[in-house]
Amino acid sequence: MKHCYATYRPFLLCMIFLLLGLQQLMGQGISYRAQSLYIYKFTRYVSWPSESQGDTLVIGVFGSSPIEDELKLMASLKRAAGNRPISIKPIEGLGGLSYHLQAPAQPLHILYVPSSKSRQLTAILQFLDQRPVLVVAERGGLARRGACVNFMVTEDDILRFEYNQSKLGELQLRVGEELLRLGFKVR
Amino acid sequence: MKRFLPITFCLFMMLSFFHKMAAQDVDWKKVDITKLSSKDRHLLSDMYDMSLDQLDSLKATGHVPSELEKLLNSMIAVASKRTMTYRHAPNIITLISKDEIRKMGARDLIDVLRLVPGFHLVLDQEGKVGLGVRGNVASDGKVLLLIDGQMMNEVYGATFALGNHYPVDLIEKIEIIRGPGSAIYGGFAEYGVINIVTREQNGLILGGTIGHWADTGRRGRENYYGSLGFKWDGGKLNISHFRGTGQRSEGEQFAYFNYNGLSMGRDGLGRIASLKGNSAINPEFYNVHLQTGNFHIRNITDLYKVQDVSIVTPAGDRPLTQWLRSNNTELRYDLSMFRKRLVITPKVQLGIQAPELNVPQDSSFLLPRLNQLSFRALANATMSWDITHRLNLTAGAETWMDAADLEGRHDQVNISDSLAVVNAALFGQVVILTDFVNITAGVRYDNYILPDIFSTSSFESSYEAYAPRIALTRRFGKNRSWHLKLLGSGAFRAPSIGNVIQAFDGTYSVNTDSMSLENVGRELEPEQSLVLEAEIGKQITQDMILTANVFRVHTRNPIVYHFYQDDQIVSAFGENRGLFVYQNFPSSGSFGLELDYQYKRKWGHFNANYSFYSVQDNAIPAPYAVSTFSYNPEDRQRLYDNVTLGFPKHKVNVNLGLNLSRNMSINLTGTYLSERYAYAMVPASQEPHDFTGELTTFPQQFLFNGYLNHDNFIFRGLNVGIGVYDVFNQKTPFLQPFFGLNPPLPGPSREVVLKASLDLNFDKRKKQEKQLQKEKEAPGFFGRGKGF
Repeated sequence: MKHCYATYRPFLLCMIFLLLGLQQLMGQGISYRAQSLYIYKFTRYVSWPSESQGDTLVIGVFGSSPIEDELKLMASLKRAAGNRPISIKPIEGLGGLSYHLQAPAQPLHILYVPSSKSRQLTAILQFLDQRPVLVVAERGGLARRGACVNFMVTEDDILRFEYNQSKLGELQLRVGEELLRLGFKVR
Repeated sequence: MKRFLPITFCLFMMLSFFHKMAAQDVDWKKVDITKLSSKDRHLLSDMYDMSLDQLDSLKATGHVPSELEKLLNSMIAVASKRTMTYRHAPNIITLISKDEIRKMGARDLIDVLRLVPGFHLVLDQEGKVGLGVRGNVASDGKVLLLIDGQMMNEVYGATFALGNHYPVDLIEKIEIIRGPGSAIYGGFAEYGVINIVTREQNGLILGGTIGHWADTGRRGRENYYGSLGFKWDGGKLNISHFRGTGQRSEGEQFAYFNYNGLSMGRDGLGRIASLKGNSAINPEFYNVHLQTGNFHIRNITDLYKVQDVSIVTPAGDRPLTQWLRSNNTELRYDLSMFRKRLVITPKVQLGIQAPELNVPQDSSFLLPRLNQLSFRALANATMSWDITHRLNLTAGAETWMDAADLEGRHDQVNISDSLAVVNAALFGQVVILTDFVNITAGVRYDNYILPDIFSTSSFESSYEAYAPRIALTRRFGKNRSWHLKLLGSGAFRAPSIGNVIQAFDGTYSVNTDSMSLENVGRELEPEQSLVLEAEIGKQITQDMILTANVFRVHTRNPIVYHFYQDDQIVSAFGENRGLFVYQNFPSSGSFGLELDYQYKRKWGHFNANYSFYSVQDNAIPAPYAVSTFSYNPEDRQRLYDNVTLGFPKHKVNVNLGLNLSRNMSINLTGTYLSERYAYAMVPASQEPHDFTGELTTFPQQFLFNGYLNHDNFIFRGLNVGIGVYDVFNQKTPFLQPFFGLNPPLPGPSREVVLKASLDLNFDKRKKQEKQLQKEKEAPGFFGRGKGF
């Protein structure tokens, strides 16, 4: 065993070097503009229950994320289904979410949860409490954990999404079949 | 530890460099809404209206892929059976496209493989050129060569021969594993796999290559090829043919008067003579593929003629020619179910190989390979199941039988006229894709059964080999521009029939009455390797990638081919007598570093790579060691600890391509080799044919080629090119990387080559229209030069 360790020690050292060098470089690293294109399609292909339709389609961004600028750009150029304007709301933490949910004048339709806030998904879902909000995440496994949609990147760099069919059904969110064809059903 | 300091230092420097580069990542343009013009607003607005089909192929990085990215993201199957991209494939990979081959004007596969990091061309035996990988001898069946899925290694000795052999102009792409592939491919893929995919298009390809040696004006090669393909709904037929003549070199080389070279024939040991017109390497190659629905049938016939330059007549002629002839047929069916999530591929292959050596009627040569017929029958069933989009299971079973008709081999040992090796294998692999890391884990189990041909009690008739592997790959960082691979693989080399026949474990006795060897120990075990690799890569810009990898190869029981002699043999048979044998040694291996840089732009490309190897633990088998020359290994004195025969410690390749116009390009390739060592034959006395061996240092060399290519010359589809190869006339010799008594084989000298091809694609117009339409529909917002 000692010999084995001695033989492979240099290799292990190289590995440690590599891993140390990588530590600062972790991150999802995809274009938020590409995600915003998908989110725009969600505004067109997803139907919310009539009681939560509202005059404006509201997209909340939980915490800070570069996607906020992209979504604002989208909102300035495009309208959601039914020719409704799109409004982007930054939401600061669970307190902000709670505050927003208590003001039902503009119900939340889509909530974007960036990867940096993924750990709070369970709490977010508890706060939402079966409200018909399309929760969009961007870290693997979150669709299984209750997010409606989760962005992922395939090996050849194509942006796709996973979706939780049972969650969508629970929330009475109907998504066009043609859009779902692009995604992967995980539950 | 000291020997790893340079590598550790290099890694540290690279990481620092990468850190700096990370700060220069390409950032997609941010848009200030308030400053948008009306036209820009329209453009952006149109982008959001892209169709779902367009969205389906939207790059996560948000831009139109560059040429480099297309290459990096092309799906390759060689590493794991399940298709993966270059940066996710669970091996260290080199990809070579047909465009690269065409633009560099490669004359044959040697020109292409020379540019692969860690690969080195070596002399095998009898004038045949093979491969070495990362400082390890691999020419004797440790690299698997596949052409369209058909094994090109001959069954008998597991080798393949390079040099004006395979139709390089008919190659679509080459996928190379620069590391072990046994977990998938079994016993001939211990150190690497070269997977060649040939061109199959709905059209006609005709072409030729003519080369002349610049020094003498004599013809160096003359090759012609053609390929005709038809495609229809649900099927296709492709027939291709390649044939030609060539010469290895114009240089001079020592050769023996007799095949049993050390027996001192009537006129002495041998002589130095020219290879001019005496070093034929003539290819003839047929490839037929019929696909109808999911059913495939393919037949490849390879008839390669190579002059055996190790034998010479007193007059200076090389009288012996070998034909390496093989025919491989494959029947395959791709059965797919559940929307192609489950694919089961059963296949059967039959390969027949009939090497032949011409023998003059009145010859006194002792010929070890006469009328030797080998064949392999193989059945394989592989299942690939995408259980979810993140989980794939691949499993399969394979059985094959290698057999050889051994009439004519009775000179070596007293064996029966035929011999068969039977193998059964099971393999399985799971691929798990997560956001954090992709995991590939698998194992292959092989069980070999060998008949007890020698009737010796010590001979094992059955043995097992395991090749497990685990690979972790990850892309990360801004724009996922970094990738990391951590790979650990077991691998093995199964003894082939030829190995078994010449096996030797060091035990024997001498019958002094008959003056022959008796009770020769014939035990030969499969060699087993453990290979650890790590690769880190950074896509610095859309057009530029730098990868670096370190490796460590440790081989236990390596099967080493060499000339064996000891004091007992000398006292019984004479000073220069010995045996050519395959023998297990305790261990071998290497460690090292490879760097690969690729840059592709509209104006052209610049690729460069560097490879370095060293030898570990002073465990070099004696036949690989750089030692003083002596027939008896006991009497050799080792000179260097960290280098082996035949291999350059450092190798650098550069490949610069400049697009002079839309149709014209110039390509410059260069290879630097550091010092190498090999045994040369030198005069031992004033007698004309009295020679002895001597360790020789071959100084560093720089091989430089230039090629001017013109596509669509005069009319569309006609491509012509002219090139000068080995501009500095280095005549880089091929060196034998083991003690095999084959003196260095001179390489080709400066050669001027003219190439021409006619490429008529029957459905090109349709394709172009489609492409045009696609470009029109493509979202311009992310495209360079389009919109923003």
